[in-house]
Amino acid sequence: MTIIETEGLSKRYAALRGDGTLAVDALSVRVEAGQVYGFLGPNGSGKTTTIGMLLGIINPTGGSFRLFGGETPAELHAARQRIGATLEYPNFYPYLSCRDNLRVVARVKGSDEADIAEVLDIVGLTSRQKTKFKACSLGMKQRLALAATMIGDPELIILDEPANGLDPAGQREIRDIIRELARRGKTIFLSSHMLHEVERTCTHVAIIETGRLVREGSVEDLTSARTVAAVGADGDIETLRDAVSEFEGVGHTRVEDGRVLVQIGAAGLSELNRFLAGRGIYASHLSLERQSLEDAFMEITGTPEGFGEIQ
Amino acid sequence: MKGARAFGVLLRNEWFKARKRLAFWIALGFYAFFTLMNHAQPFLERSEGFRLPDIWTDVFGDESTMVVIFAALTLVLLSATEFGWRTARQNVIDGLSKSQWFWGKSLLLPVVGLVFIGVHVLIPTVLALIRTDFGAAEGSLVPLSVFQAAGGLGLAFLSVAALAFLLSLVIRRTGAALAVWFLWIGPIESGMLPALVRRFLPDYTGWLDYLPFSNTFPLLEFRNYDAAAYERYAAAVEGAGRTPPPAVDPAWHLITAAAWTTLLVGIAYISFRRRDL
Repeated sequence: MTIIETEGLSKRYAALRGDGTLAVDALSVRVEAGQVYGFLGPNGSGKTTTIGMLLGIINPTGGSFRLFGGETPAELHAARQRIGATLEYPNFYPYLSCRDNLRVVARVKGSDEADIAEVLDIVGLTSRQKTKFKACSLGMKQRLALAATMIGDPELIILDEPANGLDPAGQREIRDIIRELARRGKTIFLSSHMLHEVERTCTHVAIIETGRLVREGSVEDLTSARTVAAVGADGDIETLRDAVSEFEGVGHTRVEDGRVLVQIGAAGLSELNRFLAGRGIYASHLSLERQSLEDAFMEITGTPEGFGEIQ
Repeated sequence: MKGARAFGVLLRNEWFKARKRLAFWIALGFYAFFTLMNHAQPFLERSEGFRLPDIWTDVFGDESTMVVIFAALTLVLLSATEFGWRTARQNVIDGLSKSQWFWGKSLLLPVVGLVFIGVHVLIPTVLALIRTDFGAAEGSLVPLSVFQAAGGLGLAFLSVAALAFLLSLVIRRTGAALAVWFLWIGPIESGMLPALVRRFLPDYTGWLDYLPFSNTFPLLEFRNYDAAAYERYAAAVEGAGRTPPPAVDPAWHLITAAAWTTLLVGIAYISFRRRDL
């Protein structure tokens, strides 16, 4: 069953002068039931705007979308009752306690308030349920947002940067919760900059750039379709990197764990070795490795190494 | 959520959010204190006229303007902050349609009005009740005109609060919405617009009485609902050697207040539906 389907979905923000900003440009994606779908893109690529349109808080200016097969306003409203979502920063009433905030959410969702105890337990906030939202740490706020998405036992969970601003332990907690949700058979639509996390968590990804879809597929396909040569040699690593960069057909290179990583086909490995030897560099390590999602993302979006918030 | 159930849930949620908010109780407490202080002196001095039914002229008199302003301020506080905190957006993400969110929030108009007007009426009524000599009282202590005046006050509040509500939803910032609202009911409606109309449209100055805030003044005078109260007022003014103004029929002002309320809430609804959250 198709849970989310967009067709040529577009959003142009109006401007006083000129044509405005085209934040999402004819986006067509498809999310099937049970998928953990990573929605990736650099800052300002249109991820949040796309999710905002799906959730009904941003009006599209072009194209269409279906949620659970419905596309009329009434069908979309009914479909949204089956979604739990959080967008960007957790938004709650600062003067209410964690529990009272969840009571507001439960009433909005028309769900049983008995759910609250369960979701507080899942995110580990039971002991802090009386803490006012304004007194919560960022980690607690993120966990509360996750708890809110789970109220009413939604079939689709949409998370936009759920681990933003968290320390590694917090990120891991969030990742574990997402995995648990996936294990329970939820369809998850996850927008994140944490590419390592996405690679470990998601089954499928879409990569968008300047509002346009540039790649969609399973994580397996996206990463195994590309292999990376890992080259190690005695001596200066930058000299090795410069030499590798001069090899014909090599694009983006990066240094990791004292090795130079470069995308290259299996057939090119011996050629590369010969090329380096011709430069007087003798490889102490030469192997083919599967490309990481981060490498694939860098290559597809042409994003320079270490840019923005990519981690 | 559909129909009456949705209405009930929205109302319960809005009241839950309001009653848990300290700012709401501070505003209400401050107004209650203000009202109490306003009536403390005549109560303690056992002033002539501080009893039922004479008190109604005070309850539904000039000081009614204050309850309208206080309640509208509170309404802005409870509405505009939903945008600053982005909870309006989150409520829609959680499953409310934009229409449901809007109508849920608009329920605050009557709710806040009822609470503040309740305090406004209750405090002097209880104090006057203590000072009332039931044996000496003539006529009905609570005549029908009290309910008419209360309805007029409620409608006056709704029309002025509807403007505050519209500004809250359009500007989406508490401070700015309050500033524009005060600018409108003060310098603009009471100063700038009359000056412009008198200068450029001198034949239409009568319309100025029907602007949102000015329209409420005749609705906030008990003597416009109660013939006996008007006669007492006219006699007092004549006794002071002045000519009393004619009694004003509140009917057109009631209709105008209802029309302003409908128009301003309607504009707020269209604006809210069209804009992104």
